[in-house]
Amino acid sequence: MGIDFFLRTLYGSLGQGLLYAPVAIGVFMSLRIMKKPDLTIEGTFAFGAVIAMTLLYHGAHFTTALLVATVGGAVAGLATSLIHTKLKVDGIISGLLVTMALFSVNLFIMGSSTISAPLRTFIFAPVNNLLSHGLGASNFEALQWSYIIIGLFILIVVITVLHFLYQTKFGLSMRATGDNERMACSNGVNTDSRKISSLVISNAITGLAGALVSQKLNGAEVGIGAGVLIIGLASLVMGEIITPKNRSMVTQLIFIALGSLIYFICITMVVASGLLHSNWERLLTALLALLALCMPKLRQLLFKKKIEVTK
Amino acid sequence: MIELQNISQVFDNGVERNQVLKCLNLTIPEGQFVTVIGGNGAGKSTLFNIINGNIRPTSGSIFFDGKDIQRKSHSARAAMIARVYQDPNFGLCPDLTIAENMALANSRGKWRGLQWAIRKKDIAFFKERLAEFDLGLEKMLRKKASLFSGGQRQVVTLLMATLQKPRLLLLDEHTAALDPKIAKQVMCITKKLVDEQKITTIMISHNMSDAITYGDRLIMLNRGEIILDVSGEEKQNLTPAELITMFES
Repeated sequence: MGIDFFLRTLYGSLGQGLLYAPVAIGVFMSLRIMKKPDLTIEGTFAFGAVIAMTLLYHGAHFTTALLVATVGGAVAGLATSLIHTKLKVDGIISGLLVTMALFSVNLFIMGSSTISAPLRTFIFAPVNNLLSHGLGASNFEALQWSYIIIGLFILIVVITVLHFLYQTKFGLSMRATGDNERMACSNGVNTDSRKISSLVISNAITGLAGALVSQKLNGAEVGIGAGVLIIGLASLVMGEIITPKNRSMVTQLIFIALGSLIYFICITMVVASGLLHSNWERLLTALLALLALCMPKLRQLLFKKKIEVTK
Repeated sequence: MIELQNISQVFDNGVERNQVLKCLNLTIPEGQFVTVIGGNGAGKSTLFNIINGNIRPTSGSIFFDGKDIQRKSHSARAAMIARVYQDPNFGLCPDLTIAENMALANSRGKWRGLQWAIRKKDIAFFKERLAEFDLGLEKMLRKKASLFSGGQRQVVTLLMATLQKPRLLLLDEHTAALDPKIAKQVMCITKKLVDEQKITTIMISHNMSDAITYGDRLIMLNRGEIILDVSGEEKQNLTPAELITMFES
């Protein structure tokens, strides 16, 4: 097990981290901006993955597959938000209901419990071909770099769109709705519509991530979304720990993506080095998330910094 | 301008029945500043909630400029009606900066699309408005609202409520949570803002002398009914002691 081995794993985790980063951004939108957890994420992720893979399997172009998966995610978010705002069901329960329902929908779409398509139909194929044929990279390297390049590209698009959106009047009213609903309402913001929009956007992003990740995994299965929410949460909180203070929205989003990278590097390194069997991956995820979540308290206990009091 | 006709409000949870307002009639002409006093449970806050659409009255109707606004939602009415609450935490978004809070209020009643929320000229305008109070608030535009004291928050909230001139301003004991010195300052600012733009205002107050000093008309509510409605000289001649006697009777 040499340095080469670690480099290879690092490549792998970089691509994975970038492709999963939009999920962490989706979690950020619901948990931090709207200040309400959204459990639809797991269902939406699988929905996006299943839609994309089924379309690719039936010979659709990858742009169609990605677009339909994104719209699918948006529809799932719309379902949750309508159940929550119009039928007045608790937000967490609404998400659970939709996730549950999507499980059957996914099985119906696939027609079986797994589905796969060949690599040449994937969004990674053009970049992969260019790298391996055009630049003569090895098969392994070309594939890993295509994950990284596509992941980075999609991430930049997502972050740019959100960065601009949150600076508009509409975006500001979304943030206000999450921050102080009563205030937003008395300033004439239709808070229900902002809750709906936010969930539609965050789930569209998650659906897109599902579509990308399924292409990295060479297929989708019915349980592909399990645990995605906690991965997103772990990435989010790890990103927040390293985010500098007084941050703007765009720095926050970039650091959340970095959090996703750090998360996947940690996990893959631990598993790949043979320290832990991959069965323990989820436990490790939970522990990492816990560690990141209780970091403020830990810092307080470990480095007791005295706040200077001027007399 | 605003007219309440036979407004009754009953809260009934199946066990207890509580009639908070009883066939209340009230007409307020354009530009009038009305102060409302009354004990706890007199129905003052319920009255405000009915006017701004937080709750629908059990019976009766509300007219705004002669138009029935019963069916308009709370957020739709916000275009015309601004309200400042007693709790300084209600009026601002703690995680947004003062500039962002003000930008939000500046769009009250307007379409919120994909235009920039804060442009350079907005910042200049907000600075200019905040500087009028001489409290140094204009230097804190980029600071988060959570860093502000209760008094500062109420001042900013008041300014936000009047940034886009509302047709009707509801002040719900907005100085009650402040210390006497700051409360006095906030009342002066209130008077200045209301007088400058001649805003039709209803102010609930627990402070008898404030209720007499400020405004053109005074209303006392008791158990859901108006038991006193005075204006002009008659109002100015009232003393806090007289009001308290009426309160207790």
